[in-house]
Parts: sequence; structure tokens; C-alpha cells
Amino acid sequence: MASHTNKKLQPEAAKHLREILVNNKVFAVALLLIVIMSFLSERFLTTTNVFNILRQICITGIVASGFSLIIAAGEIDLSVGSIVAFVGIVTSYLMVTVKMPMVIAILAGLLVGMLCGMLNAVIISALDLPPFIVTLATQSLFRGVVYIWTNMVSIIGLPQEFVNIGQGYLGVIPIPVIIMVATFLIVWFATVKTSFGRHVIAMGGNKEAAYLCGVRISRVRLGIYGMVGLCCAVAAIVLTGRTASAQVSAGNGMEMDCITAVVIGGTPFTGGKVNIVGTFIGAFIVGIINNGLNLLAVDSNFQIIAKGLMILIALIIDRLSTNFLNKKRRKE
Amino acid sequence: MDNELLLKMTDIQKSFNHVRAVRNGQLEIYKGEIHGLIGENGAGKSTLMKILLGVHQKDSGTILFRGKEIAYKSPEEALNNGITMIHQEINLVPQMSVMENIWLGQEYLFKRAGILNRGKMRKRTAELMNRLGIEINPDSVVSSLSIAQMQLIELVRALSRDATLIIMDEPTSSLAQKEIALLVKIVRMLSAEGVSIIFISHKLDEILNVCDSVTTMKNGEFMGRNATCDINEQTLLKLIVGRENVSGFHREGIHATDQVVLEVRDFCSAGVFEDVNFCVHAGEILGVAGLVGAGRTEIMRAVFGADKHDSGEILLEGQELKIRNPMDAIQKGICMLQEDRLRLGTVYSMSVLQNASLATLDQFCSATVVNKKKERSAFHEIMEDILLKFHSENESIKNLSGGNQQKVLLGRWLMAHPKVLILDEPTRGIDIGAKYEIYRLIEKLAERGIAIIMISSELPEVLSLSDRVMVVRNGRIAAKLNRGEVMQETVMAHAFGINKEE
Repeated sequence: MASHTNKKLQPEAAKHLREILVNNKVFAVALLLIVIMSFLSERFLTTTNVFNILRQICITGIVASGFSLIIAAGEIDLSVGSIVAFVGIVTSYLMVTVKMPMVIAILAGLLVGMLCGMLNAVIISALDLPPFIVTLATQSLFRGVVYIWTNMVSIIGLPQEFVNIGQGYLGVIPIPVIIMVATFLIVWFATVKTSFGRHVIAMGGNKEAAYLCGVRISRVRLGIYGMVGLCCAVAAIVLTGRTASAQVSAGNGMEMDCITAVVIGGTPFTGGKVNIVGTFIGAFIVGIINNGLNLLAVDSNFQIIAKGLMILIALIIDRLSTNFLNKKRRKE
Repeated sequence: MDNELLLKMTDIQKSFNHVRAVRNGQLEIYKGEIHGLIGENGAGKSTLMKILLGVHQKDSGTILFRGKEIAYKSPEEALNNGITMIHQEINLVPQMSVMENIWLGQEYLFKRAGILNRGKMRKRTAELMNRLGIEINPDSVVSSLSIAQMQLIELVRALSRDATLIIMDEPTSSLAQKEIALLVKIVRMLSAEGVSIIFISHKLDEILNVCDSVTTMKNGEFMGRNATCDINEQTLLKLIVGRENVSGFHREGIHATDQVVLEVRDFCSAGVFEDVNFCVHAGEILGVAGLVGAGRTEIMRAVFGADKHDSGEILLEGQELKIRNPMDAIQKGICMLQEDRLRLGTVYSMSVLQNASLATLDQFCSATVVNKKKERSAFHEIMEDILLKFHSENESIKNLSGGNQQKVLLGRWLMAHPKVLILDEPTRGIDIGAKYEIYRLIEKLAERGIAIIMISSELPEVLSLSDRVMVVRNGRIAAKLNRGEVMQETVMAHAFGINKEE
């Protein structure tokens, strides 16, 4: 009898292990990269360098955390980079030109970021337009406003305490890293623990079914895009602090970096599933590769090729493992 | 009509996931014949046609076409051999011109050194049109045409492929009387040229008027082949309905009360349904019969708030309700199990538990944070009721069988503690064992006082479960019948729109 249950349990356990491995392959990839890099360069696995990597991925990471929800809901937001630039300019303008207190300027920046995101959601829902096109338009719109407003001149002369947000340390830990981790925790909580998160996944999995279950799609969409807008604003503040200036070209091409991190992290581009921790690891992997190639003194143009290859490899691994899993399941 | 046999399908069988769709398919078509194919929804007509076209492969049986045995692997192959189907939905590219649509995929006929000779194309198109007496400008954009004209274009396209057998699936369902006359004229012309037509329709009078002969199917079986001059509407209806009541399910007791739970008054949605009045009592099962496309689902979706309606009132326990979306309906206690499980019901990327709790998630939340313990215990309470076997609540719903998926979705609505539960085709695509479990469950829910509205195309199911039956035809309530007076033939007579007294 005992052996009978044992026999039954073993494949069951193996099945579980297999599912866990396949669902979290991004960790394995990250680990593998770390091992390879630490063999290739002795400077790689030092505290300073690890914090270096984390600091480098901060801006992308903060935006990508919220971006996971967009992808999970089966939508897309191409305007994130422009929102980052816009919020950077708004916040700096309020501090430098209007001479507003820093806290108020930051709060205003956060509000503007959120409203920009919500504007996307309202246009998509109200006119039933494809998110790709709407956010392509607002990407150009927000960026254009930034250019005209600043006359293409970056804003400098920011107060030191503001610059500290981007450059300072708390003990040995860079403040931007703390902000990034906090952002990921909040987004993770909203996704995994709240009804909002559940509704996002349902919307990405089957929009029509979710609607017929009483999920108000337009409201959920407002939440998602608002949240991403807020993430952009946080990233903008960190970025502006780090460069001690609000650059008009800030965040150019950021949507692509976000997609890279999210997709490598295991959130399917078609939506219906989300892996927030995966997105963090995804951003980290991009960071490791860039950092590693830097350490090895590889031409920066090759890094662009490396990024492209990485996305392809991530997708190929994903497809192969899903096929493998389906085949196994069918056999059972 | 020549007496040359064009097509002969014998003893065709086809199953999908152990469900027999066609068990004894027989079809004979002669050259130049217009042949009707009729039967209830799910009688196996479209499966038989899809086997002929190569969309599905038959399990057994033989198909002889022009004297040769065939088994096409794709509609493309069938098309190349002269068999084509004109579907109910128009299959044209709306932005392209008439002639571009007609010759789509055959452009090589007009190509010279890679350049399209549009003049030649226009000339050939005009020739074809003249042959059939159709007057449509080959250069008009398809989207500017009427539905009837689009159907004619599809006919011309079939002709351009030298089709010898054209299958038309309910070609008249969206046409006005005058347009039907034109279509029929052209179909007759084609038949005179030696083209054979299989004419699928739900309209008995039309079949009798247009066709030379008709084949009837029921439950995947061949019921008979008759020359239309030998039969009338009554005999045809008898063939469609068959004799036996095969549901084999008997309700143990009737629990309907006099207490009206839901009342719908003067419900109307332009072009979809009108003048709809009905009510359901606590503990009652109201069956809704009618043909597919009659407006049954549309009426109920509007009650549930999934679609808009133009006018009319919904009263729940005597109180008038404003229902703007499904959320309003669910909160008030009106729930609806959708007919298309895959497209409108399940979220495949989510677990069994998450699928079940999707409609009622807010009940288990405090400050939007989901209390998973509460969620799980509510789920188990309902699932014990439903007797669902599952390995784990965290398993993905797509790993379950169709019957178990349906039970999870039923569980979803029971978690909302509905007063009114609308079930749209609750047993579609479900094996026979699970079917009975669902019947028992529906009965049990009625016993508890839930008012149940059940839309079903399976007549035996409607007749054995319902306290009353409402028949919908052309967006109107054609009849309301009580349990005693309900008979298969009466229901079908109302659904097909023929009057028994005549």
C-alpha cells in the first residue's frame, strides 16, 4: 500500500518540480550568467559592481515593474519614455523656475505622470482604439510638448537634496536601488494580493469573459495605465536627480527596454499571466550583460546586438519549454 | 436535369472527442440538381459538409464524386476539384473591388511578366456576370454593396473556379423578400447550366419551393431523401423532429411557485428582437427554444446587461432595475452562463479557483486585498455541492474536461447566490455522463428556489427539464407552452414558423 502511494507521489512531485522549473527559468538563466561572468572577470562579483549593475537598471526597472501589468493585460504603452521626459521637465521647472518647495514639485510630478497614463487609458476605452496606435500618438505628443516647452534646452540648477535622490546612498545602498525595490514590492503586492491584480490577468487572458463576469474593463485599464504613469514619474525623478538635470531626450526608447525586461522575465507578450519578480530578474539580466560586456571592454555597439539576441533567445527558450510542457501534459 | 450521379456519400461517421457528430451520413446529389439539406441545429449538416470540403476527415464511410472516391484534405483541394461552399457570413475582402474579390488567388490568369492585366480581368468578370444576368459594376468596392449583392459576388466567384457543386449555407437568412427572389432565380440558372447546389436552410417553405429534392438529418443520422413534389411542410417537419424523445431524463418533482422573480416587459432592441414579454417564477425552469439566430441568446444577453437594449423594463421581485452592464446584473442577483465556454467563459491562463471566483472576487476583499482563505472556503462550499472532481484548485482550468470546466463555470455563478440564473446551452459539447450530472444540478438549483432560464437547442433536453417552454422566432416570442401541452412537434412548428391548424 505504502509503495503504491509512493509510486503515485513520485511522478506528482516530479511534475511539480518540472512546472516550477519551467515557470521560473529566468532565474536559472540569471544564475548561469552570473557564474559565467564571474569566471570571465574577477571584478564582476564584487559588492561595488553588483550595486553598479543595480544602479544601472534602476530607471528601466522602475518603469518595467508597472509595464508588466500592461503586458499582462494584453495591451501596450509606447509612451512611457515620453512621460519620463515630461515629468522630469515639469518637476525641474517647478523647482528651478517657479521655485516651489521640492516635496510639492515631486508630488506635482507624480500627479502629472499618473494623469498622462490615465489619458492613454481614457482614449483607448472611450473610443475603443488599439493601445498600440493611441500610445504611439501620445508618445509623440508628450515628447513634442517637452521640446517646445524647453526649446530643446535641458533644465539645470537643481537643489542638492533633489540630486541626492538620484546619486545618494543610504549606508552602502544607493537610494535609487531602494526606490526600485520599493516600487517592485508595491506593484507585486497590487498584482498578487488584490482584486485589481486578478482583474488585470483576467482581462489579459480573456477580455470578453472578464467583462461578462462583471469586471469593468475601462476601470481596470485606467488603473493599469495610471500605475504605469506613476512608475514613469518615479523613474523620471530618480533619473533627473542622477543626471542633476532634466534632459529633453530622457527616456528615449525606454518602451523597448521595458518590453525586453518583461518578456525575458516570463510574462507572455499575449498577456493573461504576469511575473513581477521575473521582470526584475529580466531587467537584471539585461544589466548583467551590459555590465559584463563593459568589463570585458566589448564595443558598445555589440551590446545592442547582444540585447537583440537575448530577446530572441528568451523567446525561443520560452516556446521550446512550453511545447515540451504541453507534450508532457498531453501524455499524462 | 440529367440523371447523372455527381456525388454520393455513404455511411459517413465522424466523432469529436468521443461525441458522435455524424453517425450515419448519406447524401446523393445529381448533376444540375438543387438539393435541400435540413435538420435541427446540431443535426450534423455542417459537419457532413465540412467532411465533404476536407475541413474535417471522416472516421469511416465513402465519398464518391464524379465516380471517383475522394477524401480531400483541405477546402483548397475541394475547390480545385470543383466543390465550394458559400458560408452564411460573407467571405469577401470589403476594401477590395468586386473583380479583385472574384479573382482573388487566381490573379495568375491575368498576369504577364508580373503585371496584372486589369482590362482582361474586367472583361472576364463582365462575361461571367452577363451569363447570370447580374448587373454589378466590376470596379465597385465590395463594402458599398448590399448583402444580397455580396452573395451574388460569392456565387460568381464560385463560378470563376468552374465549380460543379456549390454548397450554400442559409443563403437567404439575411435577405429581404425581393433579394431572395433574385438569388433563387440565379440559383435556378446555375442549375440549368449543370451546376449542382446543396441548399442548407431552416425555412421549410423555401426548401419546398426552391429545391428539387431534400435530405433530412437528425442527431447525426440520415432520416430520408425525398423529392419535394412528394412532400409538404407537415411531412417534412415530422422527418426533422423524428419520433422518439431520447433525453431519457425525468424530473423528480415540480417545484415552481407562483412568486414572480423576474419579469421582462416590452423588451426591444432594433433589428435584434422586439416586443418581448415574459416572466420566471421562483423554483421554475423556463426553457427557451428556437433556432440558432432566432434571438434567444440576444434577448438574454440584454437582460444580463451584456448588450444594450432600446426600450423595455426589467423587474426583479417587483422592483424596476436599471442594468447597464453585467456587473449591475450580478450585483442584483441575475447571472448568466454563456454558451461559448472557450470564448466567453473560461480564462485559460487562470486556475480553477481563480476562474470560479472571478465574478464574486469583491466579496472576499477588504480594501481590495483578496482574503484567499475566505475565497477558498466559499469555493469549496460551492464545489461540494457540484461534486466536482479536480486534482487541485490551483490547476489550470484548461486541463479539465469540457464537463468539468462547465461545472466550474456553474460554480462561478452559484458563488454569486443568484436569484435568476440564465443558462445558455448548458450541455453543449459535453459528454453524456456529465450531461446528466448537469441536469440533476439544474433541477437541484430550481428546488432551492432559483428561477432558471435555460436556452437550449436540444429539444428533448428542453422538454424534459422545463416547467414552461418559450419559443423564440425572428426576434419575437412565437409561443409560450406549459409542460402538459409541450410536444416536440409543437415546439418545432413554432420555431420553424408553420401553423399546425392550417
